[in-house]
Amino acid sequence: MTPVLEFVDYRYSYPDGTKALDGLTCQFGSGETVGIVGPNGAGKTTALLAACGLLTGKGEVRIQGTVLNKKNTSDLRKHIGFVFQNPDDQLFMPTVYEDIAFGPKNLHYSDSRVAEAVHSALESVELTGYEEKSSHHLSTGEKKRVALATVLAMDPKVLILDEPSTNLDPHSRRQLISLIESMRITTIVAGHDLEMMLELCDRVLILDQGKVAAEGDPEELFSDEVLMEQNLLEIPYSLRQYTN
Amino acid sequence: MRHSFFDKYSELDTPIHRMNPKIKLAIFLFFLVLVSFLKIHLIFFLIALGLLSVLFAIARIPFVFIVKRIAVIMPFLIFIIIFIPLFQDNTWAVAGLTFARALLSIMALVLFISTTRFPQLLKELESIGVPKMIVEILSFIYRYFFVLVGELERMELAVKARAPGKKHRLLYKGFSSMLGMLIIHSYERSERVYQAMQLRGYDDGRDEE
Repeated sequence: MTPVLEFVDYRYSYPDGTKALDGLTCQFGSGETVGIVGPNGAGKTTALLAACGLLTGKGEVRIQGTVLNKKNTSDLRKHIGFVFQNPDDQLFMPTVYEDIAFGPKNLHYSDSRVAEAVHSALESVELTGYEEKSSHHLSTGEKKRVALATVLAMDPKVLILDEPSTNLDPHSRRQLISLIESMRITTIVAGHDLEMMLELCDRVLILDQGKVAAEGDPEELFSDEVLMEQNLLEIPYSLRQYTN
Repeated sequence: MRHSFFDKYSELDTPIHRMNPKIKLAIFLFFLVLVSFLKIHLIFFLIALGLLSVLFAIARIPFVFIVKRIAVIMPFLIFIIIFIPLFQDNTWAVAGLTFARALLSIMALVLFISTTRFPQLLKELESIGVPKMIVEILSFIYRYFFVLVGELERMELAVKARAPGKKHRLLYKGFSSMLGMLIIHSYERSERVYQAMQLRGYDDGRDEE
């Protein structure tokens, strides 16, 4: 079966010459939840941006088998729902309703279909009734969920979450995890919250210096002391008791 | 952090808040025209002032809030007023008239803005034919004003935390670099926001080369 998203020997250097991605090759299959971990500067966010065609490097990004190029970027992009690390970057409209409606409107949905998409997106993040609120009156947890709703409303094939659990209190984090767990679509989670990855992910990739350093079952990889240390990571607390 | 400055009282539920925003906008504009073209006698001024006060009372906007809002615009007004006697013949009468007109207009503006929710206001502006781009710019100002203020407050706190006991005036030395930092942060943020917009299908034509 064709992977939903695929990187083939992808390379990207920032304008100042820093190599962010250096031959990244990996695949994401339909319906699976994959974690991307790695030290700061390993290229996690860069890879995610490249997946949406926001960066143009060398090599290929394929979305449902089609190679991403300049011409089809805006077409293929709508299959990917990208939730930014900072919800203040993602929520740019005056009200929650307008923010969630922004995507569907750009897909040229009819007014009633836009309203329906907003309603069901808010329902799926359990924030029904928040339509007329302003983003600056929301808590961080609520903002994160609204940010998720803004991409869910576009009915994406792949959901990309960049550090979804940062800055959340344990309760909001729990809410977000159950929410992600309930999603049926292909989900890519990047970040440093290894405990969350253990819970959510079918598979994890460890990125280091712009390429995949290891790939496999989260529990197996995260309990490998040598591997974790090599990649400036740490065995999660919940796994530590078993390994000692 | 939660902020509310100019929209502090816009969520109240009074007859004036509930009023159809289109009608409210129409009355507001009509009032502005009236004030700008009529020769204002003292009695007319007092009646208008009384009327506005009653409306403020109905809308339950606190007096201090109104004074603060007016005070923001006052310096500009006073600057203009003091120059009028220098260029006009019948000096103080003109200056007084201009002042009365401006004060009434500002008060009406404060009343209108503080009783209308900003997103609603934007919709009305769009519906009366204000160009989409202007409405979009205003909407971004509204959204990111609060983010910027939060950022500025955090920076100020960081400065204070590392300069205990320093006099306020000394802190202002760091103000210019703080402002520079804020501009750089905003620039970077604007790039990320634009990316977020692109990802949700926004197309301003820049993509097509």
